[in-house]
Amino acid sequence: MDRPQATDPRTDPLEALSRALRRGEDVLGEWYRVAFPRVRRLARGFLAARDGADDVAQDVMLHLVDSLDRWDPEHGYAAWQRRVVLNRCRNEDRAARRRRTHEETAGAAWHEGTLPTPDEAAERGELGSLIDRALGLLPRREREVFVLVELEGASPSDAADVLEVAPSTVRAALTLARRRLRDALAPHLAEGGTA
Amino acid sequence: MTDDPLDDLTRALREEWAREESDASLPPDALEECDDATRRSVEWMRVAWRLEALEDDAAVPPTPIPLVRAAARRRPSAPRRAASLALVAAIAAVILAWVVRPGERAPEPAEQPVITGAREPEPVPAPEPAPPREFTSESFQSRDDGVELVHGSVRLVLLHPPSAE
Repeated sequence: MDRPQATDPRTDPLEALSRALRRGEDVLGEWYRVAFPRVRRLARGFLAARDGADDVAQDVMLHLVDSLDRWDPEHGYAAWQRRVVLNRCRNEDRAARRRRTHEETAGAAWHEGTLPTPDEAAERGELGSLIDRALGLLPRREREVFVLVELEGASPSDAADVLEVAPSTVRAALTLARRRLRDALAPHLAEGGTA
Repeated sequence: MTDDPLDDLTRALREEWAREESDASLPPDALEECDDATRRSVEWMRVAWRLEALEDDAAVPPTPIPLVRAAARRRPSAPRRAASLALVAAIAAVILAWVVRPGERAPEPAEQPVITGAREPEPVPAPEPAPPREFTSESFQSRDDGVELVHGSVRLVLLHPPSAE
């Protein structure tokens, strides 16, 4: 399966809607419908937690509207939005880590037996928790890179911009993240496909 | 090669640095180049992520009220203020026109006929009432703090409402 492709800013409706909202036009509902799923998905990935991602995403949406004047329209909106989500999630992650116990974060026995295919997991209603646990195995920086590049389709240089790190750091973090996931997932994957 | 080995070393380091930098700008190693276990693990995550995204994207909650309020705060208030001011001005103009009705104004003194001789002066028809004066653009004057309406000897000043911002 190919790496997901990031949306082209020239044709991305989110860009146009954000500009209109910034000008004060009455496009909130439409903007929300386009922006919210992306914010929620990213928050859920960065936090490795489906529960709670909704609340964080709602906070982020409010923050985005309030601080839209701080976005420089000379630059792409999507990257700015990702940065806002990232910062909010880092704050949330720090707070959540204080709440979690060591056993919960260790993720030693994250799964028993054979891992179901994503379709099977979705049918059983397990998909969300499996994704959470798998992403939870990654340290924060690796998780952020993995979500941005492998799951959301950002280019490594875009991810480097969002994370404010060198592209070589993104590459290194991505390699580590893949290796960590391989060690955790591969022993539980049935031979053959993933779906 | 130069005589100074330090120069050679510096050049070699610069070349190595440039090579490293250009490598860094390349996309990460393609997943296809990874070993089979890594590839299958990452693909499992991608498929799972996409499936869940499809479910989640289909269920976007309604726009929360605080967000609607925040967006309303963003909208410029100038057009609304101008519209309300125009409405008030129109109402004031109607009131003013009613208060200062043209029929109640004293008629302008008619010109006295010039007596030229023995002929009896012709009767001068009674002056017709002046046509009702209409408000023109000259009746309105924009001020920094509002608008001023002038009609005859009556002057009405409408001040801008205080800004909510």
